[in-house]
Amino acid sequence: MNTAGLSLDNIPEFRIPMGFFLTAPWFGILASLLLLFSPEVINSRWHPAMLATVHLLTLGFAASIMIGAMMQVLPVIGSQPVPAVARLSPWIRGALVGGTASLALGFLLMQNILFYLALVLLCGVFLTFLSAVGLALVKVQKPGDSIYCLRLAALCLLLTVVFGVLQLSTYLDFQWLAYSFERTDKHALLGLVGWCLLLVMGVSFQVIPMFHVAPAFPKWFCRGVTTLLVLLLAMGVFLSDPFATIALVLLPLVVGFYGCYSLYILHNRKRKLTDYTVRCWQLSFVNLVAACLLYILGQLGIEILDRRDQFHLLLGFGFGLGFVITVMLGMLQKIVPFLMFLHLQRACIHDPSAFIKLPNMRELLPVSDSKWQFRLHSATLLTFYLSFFGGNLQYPLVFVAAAFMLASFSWLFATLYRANNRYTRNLPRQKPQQPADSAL
Amino acid sequence: MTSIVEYMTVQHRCCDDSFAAAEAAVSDQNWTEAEKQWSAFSRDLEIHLENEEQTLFPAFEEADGHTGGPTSVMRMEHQQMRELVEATTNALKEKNVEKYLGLSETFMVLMQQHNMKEEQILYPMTQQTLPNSDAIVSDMTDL
Repeated sequence: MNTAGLSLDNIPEFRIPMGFFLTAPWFGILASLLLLFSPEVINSRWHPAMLATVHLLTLGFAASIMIGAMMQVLPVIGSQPVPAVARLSPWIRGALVGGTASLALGFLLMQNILFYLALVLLCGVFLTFLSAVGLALVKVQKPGDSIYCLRLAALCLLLTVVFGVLQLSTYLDFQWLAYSFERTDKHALLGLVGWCLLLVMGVSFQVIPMFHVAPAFPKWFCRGVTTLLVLLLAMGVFLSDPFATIALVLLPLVVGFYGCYSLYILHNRKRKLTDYTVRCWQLSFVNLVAACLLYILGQLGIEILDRRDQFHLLLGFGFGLGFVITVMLGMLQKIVPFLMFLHLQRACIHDPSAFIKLPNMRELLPVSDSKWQFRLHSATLLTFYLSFFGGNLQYPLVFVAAAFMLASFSWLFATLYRANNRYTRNLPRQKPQQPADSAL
Repeated sequence: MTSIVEYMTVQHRCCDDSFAAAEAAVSDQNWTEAEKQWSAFSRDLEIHLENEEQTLFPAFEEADGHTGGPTSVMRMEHQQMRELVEATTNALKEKNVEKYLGLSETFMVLMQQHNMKEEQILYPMTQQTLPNSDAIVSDMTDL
């Protein structure tokens, strides 16, 4: 049996995930600035500045966090380190920054050279990342529910990249296929419901019971919901009507069931203290369920917004900002001080007296910082939602929402930066001793 | 007969219950309840750690052939948990809510990642390795 997971030596150096976490907020800040200076982009999901904003948030913010988290999570929950993680991560991070910036600028300036650059850099990022993570995921012995989810999420990420590259190639001089709105929808569906949701599901199955002393997600639920979701997603993407339509009507029911059941699990947690990670989970699941209900209403022909295009944007904001980014903001408040503590603990594993002097998690990342993060993000969401129903006040409301979003991402960076400084100050000056048994 | 995995996992959950109850009581500044729950937790945790260190780990180390294996990492983490019990007990004596909650948050996460490693890797490994797992379970102290 693989005992690597028992050892703290198996986890990557803290600077690796933290590098991704400290990079991500800058893309959120850039996306906020774009919305702040041109709130009219809310008019259409196809507006070049909106495409730039969406990719700054999905690639620059969300993918940075997810890649950093995957590198950290796999050795802990799968007992498998990502191969060559220390050597690969600076390249992956650098190319992700360059590729995302090129793509966003490409949309804004419509310069082919920027799209070529984005294509090369982003293909490099995802092929490298998926090869390394794929290898680790395949090597996991006796995969649990979380690993099952992460494997499927990685597959969906690969498909998202393929659809994205095909669509990007239509901006370039290759004449092999025409631009397709349908392909964009599939790219977004695979990215949001495939990669993001499956990854969040995989992580939630493990961390909600662990951090909040909540009941475990039952096995039938984990396997059943994951499998059903992937089957419906595959039908929706690869089959033609009527099967695709049926799948896309059933998909929000499965996703909504996951959201409701997770709220139920959280409600039954034993730790009832005020915890902003729990609040973020709850807020994100409420957004997820609301997005599913909105989608079902749309499928039933009940129009809550006059324009179809605005409806799609509302769904996208609800799912992307309301669900995915809320989860990430909440998880960072818990995972960052936990990882810091884990690494500090590792540095003094043979010295219990040094161990007891270590700052605790709340001293590394204070609750007041998490509280303001939650407030700023909630204000962002509320004003964005209001903007869709604001009539003539839509642009001013988007402006206010963008200002809150700017404050929220800036606050996130400041929080992580301060926490990182506290961590660095508390690191022992001497090189940590290796455990007696190097086989561990 | 209960397997090692089931028996030890039930002990983990039992400790979680009193730990969460003590934390909630401190948050409400209900110090009588907090002391009752915390002493139940400290007692149960110590019994559980001793079950591992004096019964389960020696049997596994004997069957496995060496003492420096995975159990040594677990023993070191037990020592860290004992240090945290002492620090948290002091915070409780001082009735210092902030200090207690900061320590208990850290303790909870440390304990949960330790438990996860035991439940997912070490206990199944001991169950597989030890031919007399029923006898091992009956030798351990119930909570």
